[in-house]
Amino acid sequence: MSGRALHAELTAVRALVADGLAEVGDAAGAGQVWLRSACTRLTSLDGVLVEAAGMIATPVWVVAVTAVTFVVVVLSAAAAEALGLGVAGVLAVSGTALLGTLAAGPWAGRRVRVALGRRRLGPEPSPVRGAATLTEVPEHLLRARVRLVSAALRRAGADHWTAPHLRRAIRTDPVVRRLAHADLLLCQAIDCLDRHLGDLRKDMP
Amino acid sequence: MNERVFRRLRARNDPFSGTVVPRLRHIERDLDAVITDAQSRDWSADRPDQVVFARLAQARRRVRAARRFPVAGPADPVAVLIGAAAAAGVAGGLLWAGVAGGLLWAGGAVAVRPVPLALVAVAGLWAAPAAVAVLRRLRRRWDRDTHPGRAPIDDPYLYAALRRRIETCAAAARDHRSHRRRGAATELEYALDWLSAAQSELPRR
Repeated sequence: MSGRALHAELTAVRALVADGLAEVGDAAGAGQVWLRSACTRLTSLDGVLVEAAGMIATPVWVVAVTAVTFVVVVLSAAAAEALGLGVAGVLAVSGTALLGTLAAGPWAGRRVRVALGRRRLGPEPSPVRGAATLTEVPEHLLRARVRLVSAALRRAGADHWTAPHLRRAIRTDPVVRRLAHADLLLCQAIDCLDRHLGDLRKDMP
Repeated sequence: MNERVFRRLRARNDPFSGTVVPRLRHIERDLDAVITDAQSRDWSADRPDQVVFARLAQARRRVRAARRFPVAGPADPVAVLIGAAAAAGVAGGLLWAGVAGGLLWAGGAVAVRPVPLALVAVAGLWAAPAAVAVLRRLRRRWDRDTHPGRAPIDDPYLYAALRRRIETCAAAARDHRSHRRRGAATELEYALDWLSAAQSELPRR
């Protein structure tokens, strides 16, 4: 699945989720635990989607890390040489500098992914008021889930639609992993809403 | 790692044995394996069910919150290890060859040239994605040969064993000196609630 198609799907999912979140957030009062829990899930879902969309392709990432590595090693080795250290000193200094830079990689990568994802997905979708009443929100969210899962499946590739392959993809593929996390949050939100609606139905005579 | 976890979960001749306090990290890892498996089965329409794994994931969230240092390790530790080993091996080998062959020496002077050193580092860096690509290809082949088998999420003994382990942890945390550990006991009680909520949704036979 190409990147642009994935971004279009994720934008659509995001809009659907924003509609549902607006409706649930209006209904959620102080004492309604399930609704508040669903709100929390849907709010954190947005961040996960942004990060999934901001994933950098592996070749680009490798080239960037290569450039950073080259610069860091050249500079630190030159600095150690200028300080008059011996061979072991130069190797130790440049090795430490390289390891320190690579250790900061996940932190920097996360920042870059979030910024890139915001840019790719556009601004926060403004929710359409009254798109669904509270009883219709679970179905609304289920539609979002269908789109999300189909995007994840297309991302995993049509040759790998068996359970072991998908299990591996959820564990190892960074995009599919984030989409799986988003799917999990969506399922939890739907479950919380269903429990709230079930409680309401039980209270009715 | 996944297969090993499943095998241990399936070997259930006595789930109520064990005298040591189980570790929350291991409980979280087992829950993680079960949830990933159930989600992949839901995606591949092998065992469509979106409620049970969502509730188990709530339990996992509580268990993670109860951990003393809730740091998430790398998502794919095997790939990280193999990539790091390949990078270190290639860089070390090149360095050794360069030192032995005199390529890194500036005309016999006691110094290391920065640019060849940086090239060695870059070569080591490129060995990592190559090794990971080989690993991915091997994993695809292994996944093609694995049979999905029975879903561990349907196993009632899994819930019994998990409940027993979480209860042991909660009992150990409840009378701890530190108020933070006692707070962890509350989180673990929430986890037990979610666990029984997940079990109540299982299809009855």
